[in-house]
Amino acid sequence: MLTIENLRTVIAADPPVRAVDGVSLMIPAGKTTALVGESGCGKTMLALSLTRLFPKSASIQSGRILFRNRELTALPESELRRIRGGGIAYIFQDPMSALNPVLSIGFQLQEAIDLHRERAAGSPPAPADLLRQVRIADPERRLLQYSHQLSGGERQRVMIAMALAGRPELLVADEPTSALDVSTQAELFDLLTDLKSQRGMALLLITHDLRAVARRADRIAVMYAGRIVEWGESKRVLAQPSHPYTQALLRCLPPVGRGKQTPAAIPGSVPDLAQIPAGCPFHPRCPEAFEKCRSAEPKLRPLPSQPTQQVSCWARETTP
Amino acid sequence: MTPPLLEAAGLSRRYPVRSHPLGPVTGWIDAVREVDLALSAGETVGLVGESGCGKSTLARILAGLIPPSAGTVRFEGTALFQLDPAGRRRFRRTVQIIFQDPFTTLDPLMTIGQSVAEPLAIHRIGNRRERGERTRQLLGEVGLPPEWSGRFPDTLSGGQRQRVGIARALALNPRLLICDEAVSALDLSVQAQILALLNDLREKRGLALLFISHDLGVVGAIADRIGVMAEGRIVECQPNPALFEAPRHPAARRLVELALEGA
Repeated sequence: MLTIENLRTVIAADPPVRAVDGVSLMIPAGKTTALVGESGCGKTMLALSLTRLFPKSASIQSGRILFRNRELTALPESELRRIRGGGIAYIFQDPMSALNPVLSIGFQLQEAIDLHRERAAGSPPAPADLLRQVRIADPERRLLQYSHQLSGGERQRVMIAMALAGRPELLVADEPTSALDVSTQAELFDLLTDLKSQRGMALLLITHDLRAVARRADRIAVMYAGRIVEWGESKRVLAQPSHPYTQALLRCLPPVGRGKQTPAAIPGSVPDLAQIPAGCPFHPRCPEAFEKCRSAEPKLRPLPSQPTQQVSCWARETTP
Repeated sequence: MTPPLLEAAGLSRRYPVRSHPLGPVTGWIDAVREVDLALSAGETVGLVGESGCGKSTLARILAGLIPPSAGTVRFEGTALFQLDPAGRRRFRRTVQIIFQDPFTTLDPLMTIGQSVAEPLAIHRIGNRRERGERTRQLLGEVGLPPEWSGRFPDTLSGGQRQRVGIARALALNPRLLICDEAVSALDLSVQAQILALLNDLREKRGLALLFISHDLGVVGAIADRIGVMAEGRIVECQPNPALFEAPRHPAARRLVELALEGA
């Protein structure tokens, strides 16, 4: 559905920030792909690069993005605007700052519907129906309300409803629940998963929290220092993580119900994307690093034992 | 038996509801209702509940920041809200609180060294040189390079800022540290580091920790005992991990279910 090939996005600075550094990724229709990694690994910049929604200081240096048989990096701004919302829609972490506090929910939803009216085939959706689809009770009354009258979870549901107005084929959800309660998080993830199935949409779920996506994602891509370091079927990656970074991320999860036991932290911190270490970018924090890791960069390759799981790690290439 | 470090009995806090800010009071919201809670030195008590259950209001009462509408808080046997101003100042040194958002809790115009030294200056402890020395020592204790004392918060990551917040809270050698969603805004990898740091500090200093979060999974990693809050009350309190095995109250069952699901 969406294929990213060797994408590089750089933010102009001195030295330049290599936010997305050679990413190749396939996002299949009707499935949930989770993009997981620590803050500052380039997840959001990768998502924004798809429709060039990034700040003016950023630019795509090389690579291709294929969506609906079109190459997005070559499209002019005017055509890209039709893809935004209509082909690829986004929801972000903080719905309070994304909603206009002085306009009613109904007004803002209608705005989103009108924006896509001419492009989409068939009759446009009604605002109340959209709210019903995101499971907001009493939608007619809610349309007249303002964002401050809604809870955090409801605001995020309104953002999802606005995203649905453009009938996107890919919905990108960037840390959609990080500011919310655990129970609200679970409800929102279930809602997104159901909408994806009903509409045959692809869902790209960006998060630092592996727990949240463990049961719901079909595939997991692990990102580190602007690269994908592991990619594969979710169950497989979680049960048998191969990259030392994925293994370390899983050890960070609090062990639930096994008594007081602080999780193992990853030594060191994420590299500055303006100064990515040479060789494998994870080598300074990696317990398995050896000489080759410091000088040469490994490529994402299928595991010899498990071809559907891809890993970029020298230690996995020499000992299959 | 030694008395508990902190003992709260029958704590309640209610807020008036008005139809508009200057209007008449039309009702009351009971944010905290008849809460009993005791904490001993060196113990970590977890408090878990969803948004709006009253856990932050309770934290603020226990830290002495707001008075309760009813009930008492005793610290080493002394009733907190009946103290004279001098006693109140002594109390403030023994209980400290850290908050969720390390981006808004540090003054952007102060170096992190100034932020950490400020409580010492307010309580008139040491001279300038001694305070600088103590600040560098505290930064080292929370795992930051002491020479960062002259840096400003905007050059620090979220996890590093939370470490500064902890150093500042430790400056007065408190006996109890209240952590109100102290790791909720952090990445899981950074959460793990801060949890380990808090547990180390508890061990080394014999601190009592009151660890408040909406995330039972995180609370389970650090607490000796876990209280579940719902609608202003502590509806259940069990040792860790017994709570995970046999939660009784529906609110506790729901939180346990969610925590186990995510794992």
